[in-house]
Amino acid sequence: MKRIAILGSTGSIGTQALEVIQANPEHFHVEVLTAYSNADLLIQQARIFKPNAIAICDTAKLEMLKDALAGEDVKVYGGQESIVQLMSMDSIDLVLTAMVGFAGLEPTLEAIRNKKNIALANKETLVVAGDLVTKLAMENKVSIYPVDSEHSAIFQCLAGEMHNPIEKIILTASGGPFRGKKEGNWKKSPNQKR
Amino acid sequence: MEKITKSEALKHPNWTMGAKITIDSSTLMNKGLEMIEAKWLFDLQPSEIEVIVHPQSIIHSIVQFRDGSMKAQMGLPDMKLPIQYAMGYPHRLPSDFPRFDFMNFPQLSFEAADEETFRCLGLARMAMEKGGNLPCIMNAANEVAVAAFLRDEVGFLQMAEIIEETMQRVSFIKSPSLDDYRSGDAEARSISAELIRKAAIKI
Repeated sequence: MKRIAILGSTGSIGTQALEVIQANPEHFHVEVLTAYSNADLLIQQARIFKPNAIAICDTAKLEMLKDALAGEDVKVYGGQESIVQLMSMDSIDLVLTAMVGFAGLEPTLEAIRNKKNIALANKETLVVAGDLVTKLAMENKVSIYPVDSEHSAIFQCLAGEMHNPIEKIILTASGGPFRGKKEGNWKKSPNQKR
Repeated sequence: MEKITKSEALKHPNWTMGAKITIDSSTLMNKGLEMIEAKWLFDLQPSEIEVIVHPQSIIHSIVQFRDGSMKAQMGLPDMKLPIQYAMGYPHRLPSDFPRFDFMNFPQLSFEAADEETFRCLGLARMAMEKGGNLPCIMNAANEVAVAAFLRDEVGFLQMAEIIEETMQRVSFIKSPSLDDYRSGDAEARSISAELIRKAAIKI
């Protein structure tokens, strides 16, 4: 049984991770859920998955969260700092970092300092400070499992290849909705004309 | 392309994702961020990381070894699969996710990425090669630019301009500390917000 903290549980990755957990109750237990500001969904999730603790970044929503969950056996916190602090809970085995952007950096670092393995869906953490994050993970013997489909693919291809150097990797891109479009008459923005 | 609206940019052909990553996918910044992510995850040199466009999103990525052999991982585009693999590792847990059928995809195609049109990809490669605090600065400017695009304050092509200009303005640090990253992020955010404010007045 892995006890999981999901940072960003109300987002796209977070909600899909909860579906996976719901389908595999014998393997996973939800220990912590955190969200940026979607209090309504976080309340629903707390009632269904009965985590030990939840936190919301947007402190304006904290009272509403506490009122709604007054009858439940769950600790409720507010603010980015509380999310960072929750990462030292002994009862967490794996932290799924599924929040958006730079905000993922501090809680991820704190989770690694506390020797929690990371399922990394917040790529910005590595983009911003990949050197510090990977060094800290090495020092704390923490594994970082990629969640991005491309990196998961590479990670899966590397199974059994530990001693074989990589010549190169090829990341596939869908090209997005504007694949094949051309810039055409590029318009300089005002700030570039100065 | 400058007339592209957010509702068009939010329609990804294959994947259902959050708003920020969907816009990043439409500018190819997402692939740029992924190159940098891959560099750190797999301890690679920038020259060992390539990007190829594969519109069907069936092959999720490829590794080539020193004997020339390539391994690719494939499947239908469904984020639940990599989420489950990361959470269940090292075990593959059973799933009832839809299975891939070759007969539904008789042709898988590949083409070069257009870095000239999608300038964010080139900016990310430059940031990856130069290293230091440049990827951090680029990321901050991108977050601000995407948020502004989602608020209809800047056009589609302006996002790359804002990011590039911000990357030029914040001072470069070769070996940043955590505090350097924090202050680089903050400085880049205020510069790109300023650029957006000026751009918005002229629209």
